[in-house]
Amino acid sequence: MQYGFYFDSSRCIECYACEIACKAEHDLAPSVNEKPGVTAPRWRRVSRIEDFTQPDKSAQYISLSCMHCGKPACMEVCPVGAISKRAENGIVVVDSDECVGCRSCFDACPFGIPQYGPDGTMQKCNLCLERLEAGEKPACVANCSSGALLAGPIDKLSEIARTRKAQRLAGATQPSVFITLP
Amino acid sequence: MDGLQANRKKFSRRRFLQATGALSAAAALTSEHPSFLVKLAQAAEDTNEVQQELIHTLCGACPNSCVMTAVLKNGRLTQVKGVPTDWRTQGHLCAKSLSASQRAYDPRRIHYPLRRTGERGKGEFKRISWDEALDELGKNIMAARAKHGPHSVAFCRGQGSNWGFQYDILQRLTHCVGTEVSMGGTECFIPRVIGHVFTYASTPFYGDYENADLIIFWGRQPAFSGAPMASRIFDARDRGAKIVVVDPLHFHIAARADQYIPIEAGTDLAMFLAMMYVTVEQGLWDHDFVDTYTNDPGLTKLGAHLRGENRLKKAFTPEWAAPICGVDAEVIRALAIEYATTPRAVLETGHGLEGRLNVTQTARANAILRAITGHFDRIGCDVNVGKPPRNPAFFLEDRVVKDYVREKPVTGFAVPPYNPPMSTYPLEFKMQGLIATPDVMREMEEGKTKVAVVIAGNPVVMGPQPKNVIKAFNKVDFVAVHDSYITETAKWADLVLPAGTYLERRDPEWRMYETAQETIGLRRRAIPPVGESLPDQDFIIRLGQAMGFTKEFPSNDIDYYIDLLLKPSKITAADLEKYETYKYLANLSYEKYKKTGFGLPGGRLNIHSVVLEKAGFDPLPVWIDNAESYRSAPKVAADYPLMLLTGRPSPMHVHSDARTFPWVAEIRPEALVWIHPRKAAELGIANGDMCVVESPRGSITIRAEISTYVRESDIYIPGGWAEANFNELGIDDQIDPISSQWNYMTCLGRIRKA
Repeated sequence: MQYGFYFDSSRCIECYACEIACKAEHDLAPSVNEKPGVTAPRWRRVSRIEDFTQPDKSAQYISLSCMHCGKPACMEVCPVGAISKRAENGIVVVDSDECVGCRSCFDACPFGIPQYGPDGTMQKCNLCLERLEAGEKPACVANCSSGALLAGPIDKLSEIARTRKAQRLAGATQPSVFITLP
Repeated sequence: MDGLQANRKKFSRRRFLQATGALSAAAALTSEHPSFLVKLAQAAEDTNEVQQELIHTLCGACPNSCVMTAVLKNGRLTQVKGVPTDWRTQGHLCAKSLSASQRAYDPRRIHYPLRRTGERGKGEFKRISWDEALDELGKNIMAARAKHGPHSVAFCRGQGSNWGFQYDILQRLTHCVGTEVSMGGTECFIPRVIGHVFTYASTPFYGDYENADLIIFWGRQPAFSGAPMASRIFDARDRGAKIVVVDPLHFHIAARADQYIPIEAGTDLAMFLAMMYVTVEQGLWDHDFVDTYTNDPGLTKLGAHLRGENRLKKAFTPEWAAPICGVDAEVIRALAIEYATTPRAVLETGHGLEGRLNVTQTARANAILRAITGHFDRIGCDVNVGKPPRNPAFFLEDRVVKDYVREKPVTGFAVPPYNPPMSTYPLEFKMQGLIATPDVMREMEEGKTKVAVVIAGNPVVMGPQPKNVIKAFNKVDFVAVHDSYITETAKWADLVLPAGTYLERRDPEWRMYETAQETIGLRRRAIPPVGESLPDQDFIIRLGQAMGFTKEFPSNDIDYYIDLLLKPSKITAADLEKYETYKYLANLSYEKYKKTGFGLPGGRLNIHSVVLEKAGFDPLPVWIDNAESYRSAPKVAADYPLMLLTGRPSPMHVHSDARTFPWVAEIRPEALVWIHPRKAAELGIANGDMCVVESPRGSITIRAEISTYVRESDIYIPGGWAEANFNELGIDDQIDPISSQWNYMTCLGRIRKA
């Protein structure tokens, strides 16, 4: 069973709750002792897309994290085998004890997802494994104020996607993400 | 009793996982329990026993007071979680709320009382004890009171700790001293309240999205104030409701609306008037409602007024409004017809309609339009929700109005029936019992204020023309600031006292906004006060005691005051302990006016406002322009051709708060000015350029962000940033005479590359 995300951009209002919920859930840097503005790992990121040539068009928002790809490019290129895909649910995880911080995964990932912490090793979304085991939604999904973000087994998401005019994100790595564009 | 232990649940890691799992499993899409995960958890547990505590409490990052669970690991707050079983939030918390741990343990917080050692403004302080600090402050207040009278002491209150219990207990203290609470920032919400109260005697501010077919957000941004409730909006849309946004800013909810109508900032009154005109001219008004419940049956007065029998001798047609608002007459007409002919329609207005000269009459026009189209307190419309009754004796109003005994319980604000001598805005005072900002500033400038205590506010950042605010504070002999930080205002203080945040507070909360039910709940202390911080209430109690009001503040146990205040509700703090979230006192109901009538002159809904007329103001709204617009200040516009506007900083901030949280700073590290792509190209400004923004009153240097969020003729500077403060440019000498609100949100200006 492959797990993944569904993102409905017709509902996203750029409130950033998902991003900060993720930071809080995983206690991500910057810690409070660092200067504001310091760039630090962002496992989930809200982006604003505007078309300056068509300024009357509404801005689009997109909230993305690791796509837990069917064929993760990061995993293929990792020279030390630190990245693996869980057989049970397809969640792509990284073992920071094994990671040597070579950043090959960053170059390989078509979505620029891998993040690097203060120790130089790779870190990224693990679909909130701990919360899943407790029967909770991932932190980003649980706090998505407008109901734009869902997570779960891909066949369930695919059912929802059909009713919400969504498409599975295309790509050679087979991202486990459905998106509705407004 | 101290509830700190009573509602803490100690869990081992395994029990915690089971408990939270059971709670949310039904709601979670990811409800499967893959067996491998459980094994993983057990393996982790054997090696790493973390003592976890869950505390059911209420957020306080903004007045919405959403229900949440604080998670503590080994005694330290690590995160806050929403409560999925809560109907209102469906388990969501917002960015402000979710940064709770960074608020609690922000290293920039002050931990001890501080006394100034250097010159005012230098920010040089040394640590002193609370006993010393309270003794010094208490003595200063009592000496000023004895020598210059009670009104020489100003208790300036900002938004920081909300307007519920923390405000009530401050009123108790100021009444002991013999004065009223002063505004410690700028009035924002009150003018809107005045406009509604003088129309309905109530504030129908709950949008019944669940039953609405049309939802209009007008100068209101749910992404900023009320994000946890936003899914309700889109669920309504899935059901078929249409979302319309009227706003100068094309962002957040406006970017997701079915229809977005850009409007020139500050001209909403003109569009409301034109919509009323269409409604009346086309006979689309609710005849039964208007004739039965309002003081203008047949709309004889309003109709004539809109057709031109007003002091401007202007017919408020869509064609008249169109060039003012920058909205096509046909768009105005179509929206008027759609609103009037959709029986279940929400019209929510927000802070975007404030900070201009016409603020109160804009609110009045909004209220009248809602009323005549039959959208007041009805299903699928804007609905009134009650608040729990509180004990009138709590407020000690007889200390300021001799022998006054309030008979009925207090449900809104306790406002003693008089106008304090320094108040020149009696209608504003009537709403909330606050001395208006312009009066506060004048009293300071004239040297009449001898002692000022600023609580939960940062007027040096939030008031227009900060240099004048500083000048006023410098005329005050003794200034104390109670805050979690050495704020820009605190730098000018003689004493800075560390304030505990809402996470360190135990107090009752009743929802004022965005709530379908009348509620009362208990905010439980999530963590002990950081350092020697004292939350507002504890500071107020101890200051009262230090001034000798030991009879009025006989206990340090907050439950004594909770029980006293809630007496008419027959609810005690101990009762509230039984509720993990809110206790619901009454469900959503409609058309209460059929039973209660309208508590206004004549007993009817006031289309024609008798109260405003008696006070010498327009009883029906006429067009009033901004202090500085293309029309009202054409000479200024020749040199300053752009409309500058400000507003809330972002979904992650409230006013000047939260700028120091790293997670927030990472997303929005600095103040930005937004400029339209075409205007930026015209002026040779590139994305990220440092720019100078000027108005006739000042200039600031700020980084430009090119964005489609603004109209081509506007630039937007989010508020609350001391580092690049719109208020340096804003207007502080033009005031709405009804509400006391400064024209602080819009003015003319220009921008160039630095």
